[in-house]
Amino acid sequence: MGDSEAFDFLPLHPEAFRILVVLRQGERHGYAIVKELERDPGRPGRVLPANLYRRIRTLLEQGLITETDGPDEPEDERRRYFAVTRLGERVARAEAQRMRGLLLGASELLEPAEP
Amino acid sequence: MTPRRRRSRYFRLLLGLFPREVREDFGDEMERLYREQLRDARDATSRFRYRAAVAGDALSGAWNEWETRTRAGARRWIREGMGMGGWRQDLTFGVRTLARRPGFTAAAVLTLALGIGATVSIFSVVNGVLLDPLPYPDSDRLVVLWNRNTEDGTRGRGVDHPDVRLIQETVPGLSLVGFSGTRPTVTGLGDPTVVTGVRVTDGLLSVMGYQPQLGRDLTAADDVLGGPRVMVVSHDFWIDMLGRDPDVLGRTVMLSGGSWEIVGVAPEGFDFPNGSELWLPRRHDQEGCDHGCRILNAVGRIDADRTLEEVQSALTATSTRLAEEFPDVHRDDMLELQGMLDYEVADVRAALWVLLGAVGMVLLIACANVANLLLVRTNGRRSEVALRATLGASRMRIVRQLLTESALLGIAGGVLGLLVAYWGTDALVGLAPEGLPRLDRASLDGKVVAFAAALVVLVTAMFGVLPALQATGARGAARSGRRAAGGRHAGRSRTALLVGEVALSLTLLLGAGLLMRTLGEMRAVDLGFDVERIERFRLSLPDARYDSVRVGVFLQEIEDELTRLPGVASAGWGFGVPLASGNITASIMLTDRPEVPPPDRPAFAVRPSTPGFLSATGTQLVRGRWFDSRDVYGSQPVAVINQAALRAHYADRDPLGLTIRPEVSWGFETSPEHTIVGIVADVARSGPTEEPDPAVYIPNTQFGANSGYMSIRLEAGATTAIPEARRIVAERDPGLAIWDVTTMEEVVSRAHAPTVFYTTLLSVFSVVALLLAAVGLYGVVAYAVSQRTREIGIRIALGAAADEVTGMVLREGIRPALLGIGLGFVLSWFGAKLLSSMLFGVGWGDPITIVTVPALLLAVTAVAAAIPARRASKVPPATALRAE
Repeated sequence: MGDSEAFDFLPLHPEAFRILVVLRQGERHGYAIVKELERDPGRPGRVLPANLYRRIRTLLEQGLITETDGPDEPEDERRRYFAVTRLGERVARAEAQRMRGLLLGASELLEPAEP
Repeated sequence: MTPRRRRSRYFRLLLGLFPREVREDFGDEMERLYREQLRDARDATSRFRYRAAVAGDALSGAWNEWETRTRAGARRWIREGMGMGGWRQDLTFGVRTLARRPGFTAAAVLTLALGIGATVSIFSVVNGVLLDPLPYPDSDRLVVLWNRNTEDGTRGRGVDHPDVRLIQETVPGLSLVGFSGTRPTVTGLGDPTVVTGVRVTDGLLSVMGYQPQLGRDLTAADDVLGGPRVMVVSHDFWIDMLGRDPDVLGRTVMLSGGSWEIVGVAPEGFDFPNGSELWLPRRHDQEGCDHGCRILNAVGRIDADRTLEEVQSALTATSTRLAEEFPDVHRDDMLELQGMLDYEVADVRAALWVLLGAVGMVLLIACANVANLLLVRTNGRRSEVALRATLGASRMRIVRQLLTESALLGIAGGVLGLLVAYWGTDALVGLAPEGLPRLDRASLDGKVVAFAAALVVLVTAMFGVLPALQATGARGAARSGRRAAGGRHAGRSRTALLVGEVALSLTLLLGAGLLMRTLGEMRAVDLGFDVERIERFRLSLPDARYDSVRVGVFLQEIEDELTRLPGVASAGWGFGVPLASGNITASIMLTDRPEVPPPDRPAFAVRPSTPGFLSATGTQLVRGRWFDSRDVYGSQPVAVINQAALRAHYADRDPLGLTIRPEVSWGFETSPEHTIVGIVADVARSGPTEEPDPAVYIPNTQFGANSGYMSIRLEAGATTAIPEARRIVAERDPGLAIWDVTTMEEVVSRAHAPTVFYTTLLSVFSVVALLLAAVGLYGVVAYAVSQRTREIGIRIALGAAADEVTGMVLREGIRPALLGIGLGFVLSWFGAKLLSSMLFGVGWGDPITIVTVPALLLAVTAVAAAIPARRASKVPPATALRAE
């Protein structure tokens, strides 16, 4: 609970949180991130270019993700790959814990409603 | 084709909405994602839906980016002191930079101060004379009345009494007053004094927008034949002559022997027209002065709900009616109105604008010189600029810094210039001739200071922007590591400035040259009368005590007594004398040929004179005889005509012995036929530049004019006869006063004064311009030489002769001078058009001016270029090689 540096970034925007979660699985390029995000059934609507890269740029500036070289690809096909940083990892955890705390305080809301 | 190159025009268009860094950083990635997602869409409908969604996404994304940026920018701007923080730094830095180069700073500030000061001085005169409204309430509604001759296009201000009354009846929306000057002698209030008065058809006060301070204004009811002798006096007259008498209303004052009752006192400061002290009703009592007797001037006020055009069209209708009803006198007349301010400054308007234009050119040259100085200096500062750029200063930031320095120079020059103008305006007013109207209004008021401030901004922009842009233009080169060399571009700018300077200088010099030649031509004109050792004064005899016969006798006695004085060669009296007020123009019947209707009769100046007039003024008798003691009232009426009349009307016959009948009378009621007995040379009556009019001289004993000028010709060694003349007149009639005492030398120099004034100013401006241009040329050539020391040294080392080197450098200085002279000729052609109204006897193509002026300019520029050129030829090769 002592990670005050990570707590400075909370609360994260849900979309930013999701991107961090996706990138924890390994480096991804933009299209791959979108594919993963769109697999989440709880996520509303599509992920569109401007919105995605706005999140990515913010995360880059905050130092929560970083650009990586990615696998070898032909020059023309070179895409930009992103991976989560250690700080990003810590922030994602802190955010998850924060959300769990929120949920514990409102657990009765998760019970099925009285018929 | 590779997928990377495939571009979606649609998405690129959307990308254009984003800030540049976003596009550069992620544009390609975003586009790639767009294409991949688009590929995923299965059919046209979903592709369309996707595209629409992307557009919305891009719009909101771009909005967010810009909003963030603007907020951040605004926060930074506020944090940095609303943009002032940087300025304060610029200012401090600028002051320090300028202080480090006191020589440069002083040269620039003084040049600017001179230019701005001269321009502001002239503007203060233009402002006071041309732009300030007249000092009367709602003065823009005041007009003067003109009478234009539709036949020959000439116009005069004379109208007759019935005209004034008819206009008042038939032209709605115009309050008109007719008036004529009078110089009554006031007696009974200390020494007899001649005062300036005016005889009016109606009250002048109300038309000019004033209420009397005491009593009432005159009205049309006072202007009746044999009406009451009442008058309004000026505030000054009330105080100085009447001791601020509170019971002044009803008091009577003796004017030229008649008694007049005071009915009103004008408000303080009111002296319209021409410094009047008394306003008397005309009482329309001049018999025989009816239609065609144009001795009145008229001014009026247009009602607030009318325009000049409306009133003018009603006036035109009245004109037509007059021409139909009185064809004998009004056939060719057209009455016209002119704004009063327009009228008052008409003579000087062109001259003042020319002067302002000329001084503006001096200012332009001063700016060009300062710009040149700055260009040379920024060249030396290239490495500094490059360093600042490398350390991250934006181009805007560096331009701002350099402009701040220029603005500091401009402001210093402006402040100093205002001081120059404060002194210069006084000097101008002191130097100006008497005739310049409204000159007393020239002063440094708020408008003038605002003009000076605007000038500083303009001037700073003119001399500062080019060097600032040029200095920062070198940034790219410096950044990429190349040596910061004196740019060829900067050299071209300096040469262009130089060409402009020379062109403007030539224009000014040509203008000054033409005015000098005009002055020479004017002085060379044979005036037709003598100037040296001639004194002159005015004398008027009141009608009440002098009938026409007595006038003749009295003037002859005075003339004889003056002639007997020791030191006096001759004395003579006349009306309509050269360069003096008062002139009679009348139509003349030439009785030796068939009679023609009055409008077609020739007009002559009629000049009643005494026998002594000819020798006292130095007028030359060409043929026949002049008047003598035989020519009196009752003897054979005689006349003498001038050569202009001879040329115009007697080219085919000998006028001696023929008769003419002037249709005008003064003292005697008849106008008989006069036999022509002599011909005299023309005299320049209204000025050296006017063509002499046909004139007829008549013995005053046969004409009876009771007002005119006495001329006295002194013998060599005599100083003045005026005190004696005063005594002689006073002894004969203590109720008379002589006034307007002057010498002919003064009179003539006053006639030349406006041209002398304009010539002096334009000469001063053009000499300053020439010096500035020469200094500028010297600076440019000297700098070019210093930049090329190494090259010149090598040339000399390789055996180039000193003459060759001198010639090479000289040519480089002369070339822009020649270009400038060419351009200057084009400019001056336009300038000469503006100047034409001030020229006499010469024009733009005047060969003397057109040859000497460019030669002078070329000589001066050659000297300016020769100094550095000679220095270049003496460069020791070793020094030159070390110069790197």
